[in-house]
Amino acid sequence: VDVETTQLVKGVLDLAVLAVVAEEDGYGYDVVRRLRAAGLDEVGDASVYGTLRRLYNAGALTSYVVPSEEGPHRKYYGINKQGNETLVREAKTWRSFASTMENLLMTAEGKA
Amino acid sequence: MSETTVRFPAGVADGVAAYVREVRVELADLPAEDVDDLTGGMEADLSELAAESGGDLIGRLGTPSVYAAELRAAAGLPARVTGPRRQRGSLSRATARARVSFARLTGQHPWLRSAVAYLVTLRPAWWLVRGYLAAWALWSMLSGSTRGVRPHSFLQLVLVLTAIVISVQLGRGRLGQRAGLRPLLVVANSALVVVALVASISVDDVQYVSGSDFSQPVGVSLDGTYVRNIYAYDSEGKRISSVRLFTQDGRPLGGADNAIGPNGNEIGVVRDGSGALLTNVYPRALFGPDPWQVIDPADPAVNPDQWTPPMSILPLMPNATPGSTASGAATTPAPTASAPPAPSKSSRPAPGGSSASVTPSGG
Repeated sequence: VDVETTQLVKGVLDLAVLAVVAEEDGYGYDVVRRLRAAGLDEVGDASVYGTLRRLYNAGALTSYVVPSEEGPHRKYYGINKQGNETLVREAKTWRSFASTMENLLMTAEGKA
Repeated sequence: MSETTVRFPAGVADGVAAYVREVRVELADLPAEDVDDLTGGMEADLSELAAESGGDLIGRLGTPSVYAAELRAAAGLPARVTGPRRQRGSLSRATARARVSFARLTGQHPWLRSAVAYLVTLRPAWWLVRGYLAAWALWSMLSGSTRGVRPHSFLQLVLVLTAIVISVQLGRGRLGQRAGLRPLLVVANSALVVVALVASISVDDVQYVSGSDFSQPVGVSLDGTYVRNIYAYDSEGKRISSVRLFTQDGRPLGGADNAIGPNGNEIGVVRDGSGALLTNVYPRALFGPDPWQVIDPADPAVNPDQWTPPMSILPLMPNATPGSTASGAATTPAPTASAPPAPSKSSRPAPGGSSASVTPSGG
């Protein structure tokens, strides 16, 4: 079950990360924690960090460093206009995909 | 979202720093900019994670190499170039295996991770030493001498400096980024440690010779402790106001630093009839004009255990002291328990009363 979920999460990790960051700016571990709190327990820490980095390189996120007096600096990510557009587009794709799957499964389960 | 700054215990911070460093090593084949981007802010985040999960980073994240691989994959970066394209040698496979099991070990023992992190901070020093050793090894091969490299000649100086620069650049990862070079580096490092051992043995001979000069204390000492002053009592146990002491060779018993007191002050200079400076007159006036003053009145931090010479001590046994009539003075016990009652046969009575002073100056 874990492996299957992990595979599914991989497919939608970009969208999930965008959704979390769009809600509020966050640093890497904060994003991990919010994804887990939302129910995506299988998400890997390094996967989230790498995804944040890739989305930033693709121009979908902004990044800024918050200095800390007591410890190492913290790197925050926020969403920008392009990221919001990506979020809306991918959300639409996901919903249509999800409803397609839902219909397919309901038909199959109805027959069973 | 939680607060931006959290204070973490030092041990956790060390473990986190070590973990981040290992991850950076795993990413070392990427451009430095990418590595900085990927690991920027990582320490703060992992510290928070470590504080929540009881410091067990490897249990939560996997080994640094697993973490780095996941990071690369998610960031859309190529997998490590040491992978399938290059046939890894058995040595580098062995070191990779060793690294993984070591990471597992440090996961179980956080103190080990702290110790390793501490050693890692000494890395730049090792780079310097390695450069010097490499120059040494090269010079020994060229000249056939193992006496070592001291930058006396211009050529040796250039050799040492060049080797140090190369070593530091290697250490900083500016040279030899290719993974194939790493096992070579391990072998070279080990060889240089052997050079260091050989070198330390051949240098030791020199060090012992010069060391023996320093182990001999200057001046008068008793069981290794410097004798700053001598307080003499006559056979009746009375203070001798001034006495000159000589060794069996006729040498004055006194240090060359006679004129300088414990605080760097000049001690009242004593001369004989010819005006020659005397180093063997006791007691010396260390503080002020009174030689029996053992405590600096101006010093607030006086050692409470400081011994003070009593006005008088027990006289010698009556049979050894011909003029034993005038011993009515206060009989304070001898200064130390080990002070013997004096060798009775050889002890001669003081010539005139309490002042056993001037022996003719020997020069």
